[in-house]
Amino acid sequence: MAAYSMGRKRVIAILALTSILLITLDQRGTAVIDRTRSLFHLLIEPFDAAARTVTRPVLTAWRGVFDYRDLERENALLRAEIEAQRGAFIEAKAAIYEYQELLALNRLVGTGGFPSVTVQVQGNSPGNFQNTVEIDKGGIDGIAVGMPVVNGAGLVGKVTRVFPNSAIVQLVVDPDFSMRAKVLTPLDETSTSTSSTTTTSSTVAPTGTDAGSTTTSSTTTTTSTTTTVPATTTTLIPLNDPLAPVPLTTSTTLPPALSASTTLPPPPVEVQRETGTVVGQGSGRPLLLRFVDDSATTGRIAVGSTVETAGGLQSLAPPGIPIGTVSRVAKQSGSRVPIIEVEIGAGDLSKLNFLVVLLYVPNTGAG
Amino acid sequence: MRAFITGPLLRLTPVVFVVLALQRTILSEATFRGVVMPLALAFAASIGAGCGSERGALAGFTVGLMYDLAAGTPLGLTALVFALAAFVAGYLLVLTPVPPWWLASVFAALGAAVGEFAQPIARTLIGSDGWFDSRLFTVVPVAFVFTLIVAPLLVPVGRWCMRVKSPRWKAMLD
Repeated sequence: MAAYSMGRKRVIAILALTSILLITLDQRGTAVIDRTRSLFHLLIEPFDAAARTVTRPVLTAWRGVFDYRDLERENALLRAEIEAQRGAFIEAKAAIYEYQELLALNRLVGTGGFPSVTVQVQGNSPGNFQNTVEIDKGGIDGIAVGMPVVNGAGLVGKVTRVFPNSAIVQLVVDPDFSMRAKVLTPLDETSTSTSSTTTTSSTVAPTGTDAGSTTTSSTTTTTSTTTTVPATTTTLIPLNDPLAPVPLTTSTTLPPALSASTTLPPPPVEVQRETGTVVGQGSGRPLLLRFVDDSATTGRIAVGSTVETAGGLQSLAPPGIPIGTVSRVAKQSGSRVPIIEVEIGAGDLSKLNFLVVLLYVPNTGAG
Repeated sequence: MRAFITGPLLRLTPVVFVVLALQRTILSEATFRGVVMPLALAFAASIGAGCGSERGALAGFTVGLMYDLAAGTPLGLTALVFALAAFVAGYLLVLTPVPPWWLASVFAALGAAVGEFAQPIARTLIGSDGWFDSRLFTVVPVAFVFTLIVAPLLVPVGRWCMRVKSPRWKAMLD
């Protein structure tokens, strides 16, 4: 029984040294360890499949007991949200068409220009100190380490481990996650612009034969003066956020209720762009946006500004994937750079199901 | 060491495959207040509580190594943590060499709590910050209670894997 007894001190020393050696080899990226992982995954896959099948009724019962009220509440909220978004959907669709037209016109590459693989989440992180999900497709389907993973609402994470038939995705909330990101803030939301708005409304009283009807006319005039700040990337572009309401022309055939509310296209809006790195802070917490240098304009980032991937040679993701919106801007003592928190756009990351892996490899452009 | 590889490891490996499969499927989905119940850690600690600190540490290391291979965590990190958990659970046997089943469960639960607390420390040591937050106050107690509940089942399984017979008090006969 005591044939492999080595003494406590020796056991501790050997195990600690072995751990340190293995961690070092793994962090440096050793091919032998990667192959061992792939082999181990092939071995454990049948056990996983059997466990999934056998425990399904138990899991269903567990969810029935503990998650039923949450599901009911979530269902009601989702119904309300769908009602609210039903109108905006048509407008968003029109905006997306326009956006794609503009991309094609300017020979730019959007996220739609990359091949992608639709995957299904087959497991959440098995531990409490990982924010990962396992997806059901891997190296055989062309997935590689570093590829961005999105859902319908935005960036979800990036691939960190790839096995032949599965892969592990590190979620954006993981404290080890980081991605280059840009913040787009319309300048009229910041203090750099001064604007004067004149609104005139007049109501014409019913007269003559049109006694039963009322005509209302409204005129809005907006004048804006913009101060240009050095060392700021300022681009003059029309705001074509695919999810924002878009101006519609008179030729668009939409229900009267929709077309009546949006008749005039707004003038192009100047957008301030700041580039930084977005990092996770753990599940249930917002993302943190960090800036490398103390730019003169980081202090002008406002709550509600859009955050999306920056792209570029150093980034693992193409530009323009929505990450979220700025939810909090707080000053920190001893630095002019504010603490900027970003609310994740991809929704509840604990309930992911279908995702899309963009087969994007930096420096290669659209596939 | 050779005796460990040719003996208990042959029993331990398939059992750990089953434990990891359960951990990666049902237990990663059926969370309690967002906390994953750590069956693999509980198993490692239970081996320590049932078989002593040295064997526990070796078995815990093996379980952790397999966990690292399955979960994609840095290889050797969870192995070190599980070895520590099993070692602590086994070391508590100095208080009473032959604990009753409920005391062995308490030892295993304490070992699992130490292991769960050691995970963010180990991650910080390899440069992965951000795991020390208020969530630890939920995660560690959940790990303790969960292990306390499952240890009466896991301790005998761990003893079987390690080929250790359950010790019994015997009356001294004249």
